[in-house]
This record gives sequence, C-alpha cells and structure tokens, in this order.
Amino acid sequence: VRPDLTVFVVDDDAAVRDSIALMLGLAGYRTASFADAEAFLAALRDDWSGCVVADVRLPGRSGVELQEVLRARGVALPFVIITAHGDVATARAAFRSHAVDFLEKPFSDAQLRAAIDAAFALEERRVLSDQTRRRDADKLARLTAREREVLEKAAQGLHAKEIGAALGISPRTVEVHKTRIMEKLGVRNVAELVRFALVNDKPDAA
Amino acid sequence: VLAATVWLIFKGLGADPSRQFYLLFLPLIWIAVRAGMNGAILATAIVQLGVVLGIHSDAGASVPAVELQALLVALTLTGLYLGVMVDQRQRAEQGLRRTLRLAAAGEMAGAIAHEVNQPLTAVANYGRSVQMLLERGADATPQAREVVARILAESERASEVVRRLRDFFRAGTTRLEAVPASDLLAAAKRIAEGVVGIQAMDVEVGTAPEAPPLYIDRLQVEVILRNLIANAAESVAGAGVARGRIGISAARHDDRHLRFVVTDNGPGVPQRQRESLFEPFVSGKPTGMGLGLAVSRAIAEAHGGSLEAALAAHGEFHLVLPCGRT
Repeated sequence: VRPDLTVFVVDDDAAVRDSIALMLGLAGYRTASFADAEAFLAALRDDWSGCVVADVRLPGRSGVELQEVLRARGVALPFVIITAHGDVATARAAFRSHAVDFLEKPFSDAQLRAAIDAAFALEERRVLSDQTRRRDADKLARLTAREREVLEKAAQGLHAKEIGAALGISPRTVEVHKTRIMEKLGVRNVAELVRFALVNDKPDAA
Repeated sequence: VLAATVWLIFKGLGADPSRQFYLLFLPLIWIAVRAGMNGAILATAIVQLGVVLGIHSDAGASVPAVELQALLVALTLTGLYLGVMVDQRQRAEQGLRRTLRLAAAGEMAGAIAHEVNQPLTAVANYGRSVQMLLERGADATPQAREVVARILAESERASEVVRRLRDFFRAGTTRLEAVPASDLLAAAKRIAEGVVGIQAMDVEVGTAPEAPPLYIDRLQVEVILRNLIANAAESVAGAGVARGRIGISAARHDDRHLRFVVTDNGPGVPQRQRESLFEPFVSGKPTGMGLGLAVSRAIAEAHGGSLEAALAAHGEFHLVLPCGRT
C-alpha cells in the first residue's frame, strides 16, 4: 500500500460509499469519498494522484462520463468502474475510456483491492515519469539559448566542427558549451546527452 | 332452455318437427359462445337425449330418422366448432396477459438483483472490515460493534426492498373492474397527502363529475399514481422553489379514454431524458432504482393506456386509461 496515493470513491449510495471507504481505510489505503461526479470535479486538484473507484449510475454524470470528462481535461487518474447492474454496453464504454477494471456489485474485497493495486501500479509509473519529466524540464530551463542550440545540433549527431560551422562559432567554444551542458543536465557522456535530448525533445507533447 | 326448445319442437308446435329443428341452433350457439367447449359438449348431449326421446314419442315417428340424424350432426358440429374457437380465444387472451406479467416479472427480477446488490455490497465490505478490526484485538471491539450495527441496518434495507417488490405483486393478475374516475382521484389525493406528509407543499386534486367509469385494476393504477406523485414531490423538494405544488386532474382524452395529468412546479424532465426516463434502471434520483416509471408505463400499456412525460418547463406526466363510453 502506497501512502502517497489516494482512492477516490464516487458512489451515490451512502452505505456502499461508506463501507468501501471503511474497508479500504482499515486495509491501509487513503480514501476520499464523493456522492457524485460534480462533487468530485468541484474538489479535484491537479496534484491528486491515486485512482478513482466510480459507480456507473450516478445522479447527473455517470461514472463513465466522469472518466471521459477527466480524460478530456488531461487528468490521467486511472479508473475502476463498479456497477450493481453490469451490462455489456457500459463495460465497453468504460474500457474504451481505459478503465483499469470493471467490477460488478457485490464484489469481494480481494477483487476490489486487486483492481486498485493494478490502478496504483499504473499511477505510480505515471507519477514517476511525470517527476522525471518535470526534473528534466527544470534542467533544460537552466540552459542558455546558445546552449540549447548546441544541444539540438549535438542530438542530431553533429560533431563540434560541424556545429561550430552551423552556428558560426569555433569548435573550441562548442566544446566548452557541451561541457557546461553536460554539467547542467547531470549527464556523464555524449551518449547520455543525446538520449536526454531525444527523450525531452517535445516537452509539451507529454 | 334447450330441453324446453326440444319439447317445443316435438310436442308444442306439433306437425313437422324437422321444420322447427333449426330453432335448436340458437340456444346451442349461445351456450357455446358463453361456456366454450365444455358447455357445447353438454348442450349437444342434452339435445341428443331430447331428440332420442322425441323420436320415441309419437310426434317423432312421422319424421325419417336419417333426416333427423343429419340435422343432429350439423347441430353437433356447429356447437363443437364454436366451443373450440371460443376456448382458443380465451387461451390466447390468457397467454397475452401472462406474457405481460412475465415481462413485468422479468423487470422485477432485474430490479431485485440491482436493488439488493447495493446493500449486499455494503454488507460484504462491512463484514470484511469487521474481520480486519477483530484481528486487531480488543482495542478495536467498540468500532467493530458499530460496524456490525451498520451491517444489520443494511440487511434490513435489503429485506425492505424485497418486501416492497412483493407488495407490488400482491395484486396478482390484472383484474379489470369499473372504477369511478372520482374514486381514483380520491385515491390520488389520499396518496399525495401520504407522500407529502409534513412537507410544506400544496396538493390540488381536480374533480371529474361527468367522467365515465374507468376499466382498470385499481391496485395497479394506484401504484402508477403513487410513483408519479412521489416523483413529483421529490422533484419539487429538490428544486428549492418557494412553495411546492402538486396538481392531479382528470380530463377526457378521447371517447374511450380518460387522461390523468400529474403536474408539479419542479424543474421538469430535461428533453434528452424524456425517453430514457421510462427505461428500466435509468434513474435521475440518487436513491432510485429506475424502475418506478418503467413498471408504471408497463402497467398503463397492459391496460391499453399510455404514460408519457409532457414537454414542459415544469414536471408534467400524462397517464391515459381506458374508460366506458358516455
């Protein structure tokens, strides 16, 4: 059980909501409960991480619709959809929006926990890569405009001489820039430098 | 009647019995139509017996036996044929009624599954929680006790669902009877007063002094009214209007139907929900099982009527029910 991840329970049935939160709480999960999609959206913050356990049938937006709204907003919280009346159409819609699992009530605690753990595993990977990306972006931000140009050319596999010619500076100066870039980015050799440049090529596309 | 007719033919009218024989068809046809196959068999048996007796009396002696027998065969065949047809029609009607009831029962079964699943889920989760609490030892006992109370409450909720659904079927088969429209309106008033209770809400129930009696199963139609009124009351209560108002009125729909209109000053039904509203398991309410309107419409249609949500900025439902002609 990961202390930094939260299970967000969205179910309109007070007893179901309460019992899930209680059981998960006793099992060591951190939980937060909401009666409907609107309450969840109103409270939602960008830095939340964990997974959403949502009932299909909610007053107002359904659990599946909530999932679609979050995806449209770029919120990647994984979803576990639960329902008291499982039908194929809903299950398909849930999975099309990349729900981690679709559980029919009543489910066992083992089923729910397995689904949540799978969602958490996904979420952890996402959080980790998010963190790396943010760290990399911070490092990139520390480069000067000239250093960025040099990095870009180096990533294309150009040598110091060629870079110098392209940017109208001497190869020696290029070498100096390269050393500074490697220092700032915390990479040890040119191969790592190139990889870093490639991975962070499109920081906005993430 | 039959015996009297037979006697009349052979004795009363004298002369030629074969000429009046056709009179026998009338009561036989009547009996076959009313009582079906069994009635027809009994009736033809009586006629046969009467004819045999008649032949042995002096009046019958003058008629050729072959002619009488041919007439008897025609009579018997007519009676039996009619009896079979009538029986078949009755069976078909019963089948139709059973199909309708099966459809409602299927919907009910689904509803029971859905509605019982919620408390069942809670019971399972609470039960597991108690297990975990008990593993923690004596310190957690008070909390465990408290969770057990919640388990009991949930199991009570599940049995309440089952009770409610059983009540729904208490009416059994659809029994049509003539019910004065004013009686139904009085029932609506009673139901509305029960639903509204102590809430600050006005209930206006119209009158229908001129309306012909309805042909309905009163218990089942009261279920529809209860559903519509409860929905109206909930809609008004959730709308935050200054003073809630529920109206129930009856008016002529066409020469065979009356229309009951249930209105409220809540927000009404959104356009896109107007149809899905009647689908089973689609509920706009947090606690609804999405069945009230589905079953209500099924009942209305089983009566040969209809149930619709009107296009309006307030809540308005139209229930059309069959009535006698004026």
